[in-house]
This record gives sequence, C-alpha cells and structure tokens, in this order.
Amino acid sequence: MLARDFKTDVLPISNKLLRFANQILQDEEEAKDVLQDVFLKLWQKRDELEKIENLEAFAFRMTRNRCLDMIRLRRTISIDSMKKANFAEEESSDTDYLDLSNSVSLVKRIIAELPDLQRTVIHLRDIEQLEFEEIADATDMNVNAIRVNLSRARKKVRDEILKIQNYGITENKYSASKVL
Amino acid sequence: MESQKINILLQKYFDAETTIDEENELITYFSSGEVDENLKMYVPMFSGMKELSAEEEVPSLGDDLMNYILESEHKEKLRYRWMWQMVTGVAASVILVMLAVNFYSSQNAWKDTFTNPDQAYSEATKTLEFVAGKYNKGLAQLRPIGEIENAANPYNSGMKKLNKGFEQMKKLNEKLKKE
Repeated sequence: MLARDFKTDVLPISNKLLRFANQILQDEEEAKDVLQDVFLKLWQKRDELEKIENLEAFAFRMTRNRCLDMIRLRRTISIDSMKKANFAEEESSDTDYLDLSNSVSLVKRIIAELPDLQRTVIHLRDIEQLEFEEIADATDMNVNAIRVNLSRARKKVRDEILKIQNYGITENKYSASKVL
Repeated sequence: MESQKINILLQKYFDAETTIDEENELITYFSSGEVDENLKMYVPMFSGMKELSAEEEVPSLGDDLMNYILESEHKEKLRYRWMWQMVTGVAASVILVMLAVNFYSSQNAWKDTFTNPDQAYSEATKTLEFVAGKYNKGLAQLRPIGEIENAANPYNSGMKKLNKGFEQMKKLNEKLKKE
C-alpha cells in the first residue's frame, strides 16, 4: 500500500477508533496513546493491508486488543496512583450525575459500565453501525454470541434509563411534597 | 398504526434481530418529535445513541497520527544509522589493529646469521648429523624387541608342522567320503 492510499483509506478510520478506545478506557490520553500504537503498527504493515478483507473490522480488533492490554497494565500500577484514580473517578461520576438530563452522557455512562463484551458489541453496532459479520471479524465472536450480548446490552441500557427516569419522577414528587 | 409497527421493531431491536435499516428507522422515529406517549420513555436511549454516533470528530487526528508515524520512523532511521556507525567504527578499528600487528611483525623478520653460503651449508649438515646420531641411539634402545621374535621362532615352526598334519587329515577324510 502506498503512503497516499494509507492516508485516504486508513487514516479516516481514526476518529471512529478514538471514540471506541475512549469508550473502553474512559481516558482520552490513554485512548490517544492506543491509537498511536495501532496506527504505527498499521503503517509498518501497510504492504500486507491489501490482503485484509475488512480493514475497518481489523483496525477495531487491533484497537480493542490494545485497550485490553492497557487495562491489564493499569492493574499493576501502585496503590497510590490507584487511590488517585479512584478519587478522580468519583469526581467525574459526580459531574456526570449532575448532567443526567443530557441523554448522551447518560447513555455513554451506562454503556461504559457494561461488561466488556456487551459494551464492545453495543458500541460497534449502535454507535458505529457495523454489520454483524464485521463485528464478528473485530471481536472473534460468532454472530449468535454477538446477538446474545447485544440483546442483553440493549435491555440493560433501557432498564437503567427507565430506573433513572422513575427515580427522577419520585424524587421530583418528593421535593414537590416537601415544598408543599 | 405507526406505533404498532414501532412496537414490533422495538421488540426485534431488544432481541438483537433488527437490521441496520430498521434500527435507523427507529432512530428517525424517536428523533422526529412526534413520538407516541407510551413510547416516550425510549426517546433518551435512541437520541443518546444517535448523538453519540454523530459526536464531533477531531479533524486534526489523522494529521497528528501521520506526524507521529513519520516522527517515529525518523527516530528508527537515526537509530539504525547510529548502529551502522558503531558497527563500521568497530570494524575499522579492528582492521587498523591488524595492520599495526602485521607491520610490527614484518619489522622483526628473520635475519641471516651467515654471510658465506658454504659456511651455512656445513653448519646445517653438522646440526642434522647431530640429530641423526641421537635418532639412531634411540632406535638401538628398541633392539630387545627383536629378541622376543627370535625366542618365538621354534614355537612358530612347530605350529606350521601341526597345521600341515591337520590339512592332510582333512584331505584323507574327503577321500574316504567319496569312496
């Protein structure tokens, strides 16, 4: 693959991959590091890329694997920095909580808390709109397993949203009665 | 009528059996603003998904990545160049050392001890004769081994006679068998 083809065919996937890495890692800096690694590898293998049937699925797969490596690495960091991370997490979830009226951050947060497979599948399908076969290429799962995980993920998102909506309503009632 | 269709699509959606077209149909319906009252609870879910997939992109991301790639390739090249310089440097110094050793040893070449060739010849003959004398003296020490052979001679001749006798007996045996 020529450098020009690399720029027109491969680089444009980067924004989707960044969103995907962000969804998995919940950390913009780390996601960017992952993307740099992935694209450097793709560039070094650019002569072999033409043989790959679905480049996008291949790139999603590389990104996911690299992100999972990152998460594994995180577990080995010292307790000190973990404490800091926890602290930061609490803060961020607080700000998210204030922002619940915004359905984007709500859906984003619920998806982020899903188990890895469900999160991957719902992201690739409902946000990136990949076909089942492409998701299969990107995750090494068969189509049946993808359907099962996707169905669970969608129901979980629905149930969580309903729970929060109902909670919001009861809370409103509560505060209303307080006022009265 | 429409809400009935949407309900069926929703059922399929949560069982992960919708196609991408059907999913887009759902997204369009829930962002249309004319959603059935019973279905309003699904609006945040679909509008959230829709906005997530349309989230603003980082336009410079591609360029940033390309710069990173080129930069790290450049670094790699520099590293190779440095390695190449090291290897050639070591090789050059090895060659220099070898040349120096060669030059030094050629300085200390053998020197002739005689100017007159006849004198050198006679000296060499003398030395070789001395060596030959020592060699012969060594051989003389080995003479007792010859004595062992002498002692074994009578035994050997006796064995020869015995063997002859055996052969004659064999011939006699064959003759008897034929008859």
